[in-house]
Amino acid sequence: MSDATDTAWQQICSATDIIDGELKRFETGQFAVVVARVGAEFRVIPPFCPHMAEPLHESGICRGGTLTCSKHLWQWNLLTGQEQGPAERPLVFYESEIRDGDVWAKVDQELVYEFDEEDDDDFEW
Amino acid sequence: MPTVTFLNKQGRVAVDCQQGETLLQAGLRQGVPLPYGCGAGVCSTCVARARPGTVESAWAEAPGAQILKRDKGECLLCQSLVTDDCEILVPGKIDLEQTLADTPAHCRARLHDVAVVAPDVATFQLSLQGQADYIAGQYFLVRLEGMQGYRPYSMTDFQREAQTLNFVIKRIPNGRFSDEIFGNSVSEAKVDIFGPMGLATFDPSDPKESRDLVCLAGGSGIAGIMSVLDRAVSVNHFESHRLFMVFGVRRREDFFFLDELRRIKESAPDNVSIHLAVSEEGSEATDAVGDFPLHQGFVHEVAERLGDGMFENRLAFLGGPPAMLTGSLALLLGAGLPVTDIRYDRFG
Repeated sequence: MSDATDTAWQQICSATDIIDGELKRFETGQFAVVVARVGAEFRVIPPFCPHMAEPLHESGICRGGTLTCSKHLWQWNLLTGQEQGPAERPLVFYESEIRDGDVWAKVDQELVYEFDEEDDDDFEW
Repeated sequence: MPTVTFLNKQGRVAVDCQQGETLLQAGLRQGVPLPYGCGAGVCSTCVARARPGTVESAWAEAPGAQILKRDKGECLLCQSLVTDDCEILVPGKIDLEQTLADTPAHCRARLHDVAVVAPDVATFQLSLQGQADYIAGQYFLVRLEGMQGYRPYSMTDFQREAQTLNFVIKRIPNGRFSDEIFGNSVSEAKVDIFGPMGLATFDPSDPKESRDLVCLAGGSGIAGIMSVLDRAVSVNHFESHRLFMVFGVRRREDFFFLDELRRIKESAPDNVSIHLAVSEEGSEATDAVGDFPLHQGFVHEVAERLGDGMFENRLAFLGGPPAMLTGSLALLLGAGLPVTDIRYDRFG
């Protein structure tokens, strides 16, 4: 359990706001997150697909603990973030927990995917 | 003629680029295994990088271009034109040492026999200068002479060494191709085509595809599925495999291809199950259209209601608008199908 006085943590939503297998987008104040539910587990993730920044609350499909982005069919294990199938980058998570039936996350710093391939910016034409 | 060099950390390959040809077409035509989906500026699959300022976009407002980081030289290969030699950085996973076994090509054709088959749907034919082989489910990029930009259209049947290709088109408000077709200004026209393209294909001669099928189609998205089914019927696929299909439109009067679906049903009545769906409230005046049961709801909703136990271990083909595709994908993934067994093109 995190320190309840840690101001980096924010209440994102009620656990009952999200049904099993659902993805919902929420604003934290400075940026948006998506909350996903797998059974009794919740994960708080950046709102974009790590592939081409598709909005996951629209393109994402969560079934059986697997997140699929319908745009190009990248997939991840939603509980671990690990890539499945054609996905080439893992999901990243905001640290999160349930407090009194609410989903809280540590959102002091926005998590941003590095969409460029390694060294692309340094490529010498 | 400009030389385009595709390169990444693993290698490089140089090809010629004809005047007016996109970088994607130049690469695919000469066997470079470039990534693509729609070939028409929608899906963003073909994002690559060029030295800033060295390529021009044929359609800067393309839906798939909205995600581009132009300051870093990102471009859509399917919309990029060049007038001088250039280098294109492609994703590192692409093995540029490989060469495509089947390469698409440019061809001139004559468009004719436009026929309105439903209030907002027409069929048309293209007679080719030459002939084409394609895999069931593939598409061609089509451009009316004098117009900028290609649009993807899936063939609606299956032929070998085809000299005439058959297509279906939906009326799109302010769509240039669509306006020409539905505005009766075109009874015949010259067109440029490029293909065949597309990966949502069915090859029943492959033992791995000797499977039961599920097909979920909305509106003109049925096109490629009709080709898949035509191919299946041609080899009596449904004598030993089952088909579960839902075809949906907005209203009863919007249905088309019912005679063709009847022929598929009659090829193996015990194994072929085809259902129709209408999405608009109140338009389900009867419980059947022709020989086919009619249901109320979106395609994926009707499929979910009817399809208990119908999806496991099947090969799935989807075609339709984005919401239908997403709903159908969710249904099939929930039923346990791996994404590798779910095939569709994302044109919309």
